[in-house]
Amino acid sequence: MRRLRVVAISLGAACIAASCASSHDTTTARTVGALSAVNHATAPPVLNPPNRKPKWPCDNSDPTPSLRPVGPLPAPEQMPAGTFMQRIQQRGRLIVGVDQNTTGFGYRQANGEIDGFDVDLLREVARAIFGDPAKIEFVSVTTSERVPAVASGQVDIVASLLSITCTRWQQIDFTTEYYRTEQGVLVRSNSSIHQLADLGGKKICAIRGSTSIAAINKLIKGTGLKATIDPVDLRPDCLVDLQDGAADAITSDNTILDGFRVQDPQTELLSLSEPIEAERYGMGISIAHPDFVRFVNAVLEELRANGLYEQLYTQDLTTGLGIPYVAPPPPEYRS
Amino acid sequence: MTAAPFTATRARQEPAETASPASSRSAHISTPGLLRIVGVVLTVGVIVFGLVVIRSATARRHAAHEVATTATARLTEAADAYVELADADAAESTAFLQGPVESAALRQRYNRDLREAAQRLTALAGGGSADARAATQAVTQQLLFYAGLVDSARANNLLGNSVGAAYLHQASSKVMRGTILPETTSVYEDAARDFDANDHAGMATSEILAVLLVGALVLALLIGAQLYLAIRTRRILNVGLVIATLLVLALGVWSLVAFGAERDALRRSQRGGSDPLQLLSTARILTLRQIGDDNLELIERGAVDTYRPEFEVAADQLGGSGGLIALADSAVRGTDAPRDMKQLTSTYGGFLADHNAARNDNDRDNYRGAVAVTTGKETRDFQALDAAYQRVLADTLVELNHQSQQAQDALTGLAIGAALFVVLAIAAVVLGLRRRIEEYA
Repeated sequence: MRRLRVVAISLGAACIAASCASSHDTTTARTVGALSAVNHATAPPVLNPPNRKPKWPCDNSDPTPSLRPVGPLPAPEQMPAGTFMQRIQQRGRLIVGVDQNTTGFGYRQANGEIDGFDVDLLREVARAIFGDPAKIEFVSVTTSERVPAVASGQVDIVASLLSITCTRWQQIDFTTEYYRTEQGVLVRSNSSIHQLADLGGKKICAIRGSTSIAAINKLIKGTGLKATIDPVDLRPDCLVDLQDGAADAITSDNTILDGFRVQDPQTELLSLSEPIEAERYGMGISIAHPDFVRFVNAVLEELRANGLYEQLYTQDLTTGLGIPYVAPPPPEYRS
Repeated sequence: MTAAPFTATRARQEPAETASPASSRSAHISTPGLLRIVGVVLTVGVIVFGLVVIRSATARRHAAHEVATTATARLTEAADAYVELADADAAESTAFLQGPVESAALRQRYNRDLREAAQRLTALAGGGSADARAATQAVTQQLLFYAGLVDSARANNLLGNSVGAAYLHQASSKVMRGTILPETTSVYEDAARDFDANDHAGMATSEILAVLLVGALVLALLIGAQLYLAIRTRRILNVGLVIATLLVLALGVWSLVAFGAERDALRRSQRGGSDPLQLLSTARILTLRQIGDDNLELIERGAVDTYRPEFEVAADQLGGSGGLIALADSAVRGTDAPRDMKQLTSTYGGFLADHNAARNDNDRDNYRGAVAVTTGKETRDFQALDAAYQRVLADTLVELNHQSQQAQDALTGLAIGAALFVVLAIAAVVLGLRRRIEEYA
């Protein structure tokens, strides 16, 4: 009788064990699920801002005219009531979008601080608002995030080799042009590519979200070069691909290519009979803040006039990248 | 085969009418012939029963042995390989954040992690499914690529070239997080499923049912034979068959009790061993990902926006009442060997507080403050947390080994015992029936 009970208990426990086995499977599913959830964690998609139609005639050959400054700059810490500058002043810091991988313009120093020409100009904007160039917060934005970061209000202003184009005017406002360069091509020193025509059948690296991609595609289409484009997210990814042999050439703004040449002396620029495209840099600001556009344009006028522009240029670009000083294009205004 | 003793005995021509007039209706069946058939059936039945017990005992003992040795080893090797890979990456990103001159301690940690991970991967490549072996191979290959990118990053960082950050980004984001860690996850998953399969095999109810059914059938046959003999021969007790019946009954009870004990031990090894082992290994891995996320978030300054969501996903998986840490806590609570989960839980709380402090600093434009917190207090708390994980994991492994050893011990001697019982039972059947058959000779 007692043995029977033992058998009965064993039998009952066996059924419990069967359900236990499934609870163990649950543990495996739970842990594997947790690992896979983290492996697949994704960022929210970058929303492209809605387009507007510019109310002025935007000329693709010169899209630079911006908003004219109104009167002299207000004194630091005394931003006029109701302006966006006053909101920035009350917040206590200017939030700016920059790149931290572009030698000369916006790059991370060994001590973790961000430096460069774009960064120094933004510090002057902070100085104009606060009287203190250090009241600034840097947000690193990739090339394709520059316009959305401004349009969504994530940053107050972006300065990151941002070319002024009529397409982008549909999404954001620009300050006046503060720097002009051209699109070029960088290859390895021992490369068989010596002119644009040699690019046929080659792999060309370009940065996602840059004007260079559209320009090189147009060039390929026009000449029937049959080159393939290798798009990357971060600017130096192109140099990595060139060094790894994943790309045969890089096309980008000469400013970026100069930075690459400094980091890798075994590369050289193709000499082109004519540039692929002219690039005119302006700072990007949300279309919701025309007062801030006028304010920054006034700051840029002042920098041009008081010699600070030349001083920062020489210190960041001539010393750093060997780019000789060229005076900035005169500002153009449309209203 | 074993029926030989019956045929060797020559039977009498006619059944004993004297035995029982009541049974004269079946007088046309030869009683010795019937007894021989009964003998053969009983022998075969006892053998089948013995084989079922022996087979089940061997299979379950093997499964329990696998759980205690190979399966657990593979599971921990896979988890440890993941930990070392993620830790190497975290060490490298911490070094980058701290500045251009890499600290010797971090460099050593990175080197040790990669070396040990490579050794584990070599060991893992020898087992598991074809997919898992392919994944192991992919990880080994990508690891060389990863190390090459990290070397390029270091060389460029020393020169102050910003392309160094891009090399680190490719190493960390694309190779490590894009390929190596997902592939290692699938190796871990394979090891976990293999472990589960052995656990299942060790606890299968089908074998217990088979022993019960076959045992009951053989017992019924034995009892039926004795009833038949009692009616036919008017001898109430056939000592041989009674002994055979008791032997079969004893073997049945022994095997059921042994299987029950083995299964209970395996269940304890699961509850207090393999369940928390998996939960804690995974929790440790996710925490490593978190510190890496915080480092990379600061390095990239928001340019790569997957690190914050990744940290949050990991935090959701770890924390809260349904989180891995709480599940591990409740798994080890109420076991024979409770572990110190309290310290682990509170250290994780401290780690999260550091993370929030660093994030607040970063969000309030105190980048240097954020870097100081993350590479300082947060990294120290992370190390304390990782040490707590390791302590609890070590205790859990001891418990798992102890219980799966008990599961094996429960089955000790059952297979040999079953063989002995079968031989004895057959002898008893033969002896018991031969005397009856000889009466007709």
